[in-house]
Amino acid sequence: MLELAIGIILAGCAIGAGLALIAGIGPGIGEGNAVSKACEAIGRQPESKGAVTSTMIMGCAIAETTGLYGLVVGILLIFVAPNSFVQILMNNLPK
Amino acid sequence: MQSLDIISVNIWNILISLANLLILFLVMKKFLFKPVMKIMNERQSQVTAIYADAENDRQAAADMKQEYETRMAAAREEADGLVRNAVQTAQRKSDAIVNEAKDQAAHLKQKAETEIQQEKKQMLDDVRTEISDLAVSIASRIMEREVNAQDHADFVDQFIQNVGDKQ
Amino acid sequence: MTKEKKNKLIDIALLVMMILPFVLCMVLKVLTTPASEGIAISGALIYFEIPMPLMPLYITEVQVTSLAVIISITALCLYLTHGIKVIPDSKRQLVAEYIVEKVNFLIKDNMGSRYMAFAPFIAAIMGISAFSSLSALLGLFPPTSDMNIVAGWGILVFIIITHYKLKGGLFPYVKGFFEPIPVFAPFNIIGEISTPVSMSFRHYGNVLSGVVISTLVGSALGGLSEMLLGWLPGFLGDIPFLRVGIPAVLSVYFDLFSGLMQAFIFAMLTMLYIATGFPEEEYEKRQAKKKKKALSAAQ
Repeated sequence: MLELAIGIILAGCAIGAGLALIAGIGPGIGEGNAVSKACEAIGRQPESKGAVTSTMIMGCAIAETTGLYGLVVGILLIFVAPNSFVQILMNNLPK
Repeated sequence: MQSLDIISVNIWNILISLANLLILFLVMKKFLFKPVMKIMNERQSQVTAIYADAENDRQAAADMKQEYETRMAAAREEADGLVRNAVQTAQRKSDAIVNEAKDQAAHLKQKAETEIQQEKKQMLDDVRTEISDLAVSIASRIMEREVNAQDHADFVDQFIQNVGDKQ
Repeated sequence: MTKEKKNKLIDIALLVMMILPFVLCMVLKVLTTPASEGIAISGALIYFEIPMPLMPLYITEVQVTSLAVIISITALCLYLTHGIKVIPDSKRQLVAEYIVEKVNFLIKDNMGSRYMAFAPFIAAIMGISAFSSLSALLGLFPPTSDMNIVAGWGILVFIIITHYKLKGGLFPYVKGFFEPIPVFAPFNIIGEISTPVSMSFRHYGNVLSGVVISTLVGSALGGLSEMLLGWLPGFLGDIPFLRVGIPAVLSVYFDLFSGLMQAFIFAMLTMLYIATGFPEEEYEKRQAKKKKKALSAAQ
């Protein structure tokens, strides 16, 4: 019975981590948009390449934050959460 | 040895890092920004002073140039006056010399003309005598026997007299 | 002659002071890291703990490396400005002036000349963040991949932002939460609190993702090496040859580029949050009112 409970916890954590990384889609699309627009801008005005590039990198790095939230949650679920969840389970077992 | 969880929150560590940043802020302010800004301000003031000096020098140079130009203009005026005087004097002198020379030349010319006139007269007389002699001798040679010399001489004299009058 | 010698000695001492903390950190890391097999993605090693109220204070690698970073930056500042002259004759003075001018220009460009006093703070944020992230290149545990460190910076920045917002008076600050309609108050409060959280998570997540991916790739390369080259005789089979050099390519992006980029972004966001959060109109009004009051009190 205990093994089953721990197994469910681990499976839940793993599935949760996988779902959390879906958050990576958003920044991927967003950064792709940003880069394509930057390419267009550079194509239209090649002389403003430096300014466009630095602004684009800055914006990309900020847009990446949402993806990183997902990453942090995923890391939490894989490396930290199982231990603490199992601990909670152990503490609440009927003696 | 134990290690922390990969994500762990510890208030004291947060406070320590906050204090670290504050300390680094003070360090940056005291050891990097203060001396560099001081030096840069000093340099700025020095540059300003140098510019002011240069401006003063330029002003002085401009003043000197103005004075020099004024003086130059005066000197030029003076020189012009001198030259004009000299030219006038020289003109006068040369006029006098030329006039004198002209007088002299006219005098000489007159004299020469007179002499030429006299010489011409003399020569004419001489030529007349000579021609009459020559004619007489030629005529006597041609008509030695028919006309006597006295008549011929008279005739030729008369003829030459006519010719000379006509001339 | 003696003065020149003395200056040279001070220079050398400062340079040593700049490099020595990192060397000591590396020695400590080599001595204390337990030999382990397989993947170990965990936080910093705990050297010892000090009992404190609320929760014990752990002295970990991170604290030691942070201390090394601070000592190193201090020594660097001292080295750069040592023997500084009005007419520069050394390259390091030019470097120091370049740094100061760049930071001042950044402040003037992004915040306006009212905030020139923030220049050392921004320089400190950039310096500590960049040095902390780059310490990963030396094999140390980068302090920025510890949540607490970046959270500390984020909280300090949040305190400054709130302080500047409160300069326009307490009432407009509180009123700002109930705009455009009072129902939005909880969302506004969450948005306000999310500022330091997002700032610190952005920085932390970027560096941590680099660490995690580097560890994963490193262990994968070790396994691959064992699989492909395990037939070599003797101890040659135990050496993970594929781990040599290949992870350095990842390091260029995750440690160098990402670390410097995040340092710049953290500083940039700090500047923008402070400059845009400051309620200029309210502040001017308040100053005018204060002046009027002082005038009437004087009469």
